[in-house]
Amino acid sequence: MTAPARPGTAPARPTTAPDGAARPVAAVARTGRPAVSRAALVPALLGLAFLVGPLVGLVARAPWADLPAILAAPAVRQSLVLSLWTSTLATAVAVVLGVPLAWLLARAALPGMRWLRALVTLPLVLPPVVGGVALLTVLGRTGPVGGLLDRWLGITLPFTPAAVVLAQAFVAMPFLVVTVEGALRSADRRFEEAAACLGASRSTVLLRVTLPLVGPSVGAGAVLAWARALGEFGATVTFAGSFPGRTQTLPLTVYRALESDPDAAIALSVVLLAVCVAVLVGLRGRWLGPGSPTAVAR
Amino acid sequence: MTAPSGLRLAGTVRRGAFTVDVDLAVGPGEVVALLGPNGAGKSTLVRTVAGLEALATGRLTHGEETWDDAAAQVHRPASRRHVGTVFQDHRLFPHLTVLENVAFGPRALGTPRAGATATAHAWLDRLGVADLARRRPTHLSGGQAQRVALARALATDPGVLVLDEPLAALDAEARAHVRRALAEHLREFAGPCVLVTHDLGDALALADRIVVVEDGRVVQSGEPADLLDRPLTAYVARLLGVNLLHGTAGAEGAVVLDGAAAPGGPAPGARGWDLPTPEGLAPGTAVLVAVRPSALRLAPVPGGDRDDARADRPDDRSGDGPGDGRAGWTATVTSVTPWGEHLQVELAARTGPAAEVPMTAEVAVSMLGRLRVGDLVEVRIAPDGAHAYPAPRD
Repeated sequence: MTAPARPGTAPARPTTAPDGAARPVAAVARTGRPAVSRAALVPALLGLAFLVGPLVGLVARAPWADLPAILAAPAVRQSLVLSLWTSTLATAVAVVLGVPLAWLLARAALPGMRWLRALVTLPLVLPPVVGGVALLTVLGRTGPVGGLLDRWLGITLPFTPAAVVLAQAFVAMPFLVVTVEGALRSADRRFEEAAACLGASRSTVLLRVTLPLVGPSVGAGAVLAWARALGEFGATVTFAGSFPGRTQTLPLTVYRALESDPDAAIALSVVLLAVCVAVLVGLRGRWLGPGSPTAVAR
Repeated sequence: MTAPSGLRLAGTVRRGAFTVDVDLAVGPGEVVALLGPNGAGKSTLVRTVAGLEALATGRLTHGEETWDDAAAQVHRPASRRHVGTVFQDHRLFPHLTVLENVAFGPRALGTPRAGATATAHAWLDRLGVADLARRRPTHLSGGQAQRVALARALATDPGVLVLDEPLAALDAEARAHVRRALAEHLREFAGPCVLVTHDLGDALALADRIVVVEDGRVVQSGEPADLLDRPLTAYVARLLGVNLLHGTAGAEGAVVLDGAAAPGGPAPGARGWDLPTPEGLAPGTAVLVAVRPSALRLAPVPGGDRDDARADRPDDRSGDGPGDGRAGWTATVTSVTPWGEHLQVELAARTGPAAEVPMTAEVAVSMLGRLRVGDLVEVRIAPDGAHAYPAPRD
């Protein structure tokens, strides 16, 4: 007697031998779990190799012995310091502007809110270089806002460290907005109602219920934004240029170094990789859970 | 606390396209259950009492205080009403421990931390959850969480208590525990208490008075015994597991069921019954007749598959019981379910007293072989199986 074949498995062999004795059935079929289709296995492994392979190769190829010397070089130290303070400042901008924006998106019941939300999250999918061009167009010397800044205040933005901060904030802020908005939308109103019924005034509700509940999400969003800002290339190079010491952040240094000093490029790449891994590990659960940038479509 | 006051809500609340229109009064110490199907407007009402919704018209008063007056544009916010609220989803603050949750109310009202903590401990004790004080709400079972929610609401010493389906989200065992806790504390509570539920058992166990709300209107209001004896709507009858028919009082206490009349008009007494009816109702008064499922007698119609000719003669006298002269009608069996020592048989009829009214009969298990879905049966009401009472005036 032959057991019927399940879809996706090879046809089952007869379970009874011609002489009536029972034959051993394939171990996979016996557990009852559907066997992985062999056809899907190959592309899946290929995909895994494609994503993980280059990173593993990078780490393997890194000049571990020379790492301290490379990182101590003046040019590298300059760009590292620049990267660190610009990303941090950009994150601060993202928090100061992004949390109220998230509040607005989560609470205001304006018509067209969906479109507004889509616009705010556009930088997540927009090619960063396009973002840079847009910033240049508006904030450049001939642009509507940039022109005003230049004529009235004598401020030039493009190709300055300030431009680096702006470019980074532009690409990083949506991460924070989306994370915080998700947190504000999910449970808040119910708890605020419960707090009000218990006699809490509006400020008490804000300080003792809403903010504590949303705090961890603001923290997670800020960390995500910081990591994104640190790694920003396209918008930075377009709007701020790549001047060593002034606007050449770490990713830009890596790019330059590829021609002249590949070892340095690899070393710095590994450093950036390590930062990203640390961020992901630290945020596991929040990054891929509800309310994360990967759950934007709602 | 000053002497407890009563609550009065007379007005309307809008919820989307739907309007809830009631006049509800709850005395101090009284527990009123708002019973009704989903979407009837019960939650809207208690949220209005708590201050989370506003009246569109009318007034809401608590003793001498006006909490909501649509015409005078007065609306006291929830935080100043002192209404202890227990929600279906407990809503314990996840970032605080159980103890901090219960102490939240007193602290928000100005009690210093030490006093608030002591009050919280006392209430957790009284609800039997003192050992959970240091836990986070996410580590509590449903029943434990609801008891903590009750403690949190009571810890503020509220003047009014409102519970919105407090047992709906609990499993059977937790329900029993929490219901016991509720029964004890609601009885002790000195102010008015409004409890929303869609479960008749909860209403019967906890309430002094039951108010049935359907489609935003109060359709019946009274003591539990009253409800059990005289359901006034199909919904309540269904909750009680009783069949409800409409009829008219005839002469000398007889009742003529609607739809049982001959084409020429009702002949008084000819197709009526002698049903216990209170204090001689004037002939012509509309009545409701409550019929217990066990009082329906079914007789399979011989050769009965779908025979349209027979189904159109609801007053067929074939199979008269021994001289009872009661009207019967023909119906189709729509389902047969064994239920303990009986069979529950659902019936549908297109004409006669039970036209378009699904009825439930309870018959002996021995009928199992003789009744199949789709069969025609002759339905009769046994003597003493029904009682009539005045129908509500619309």
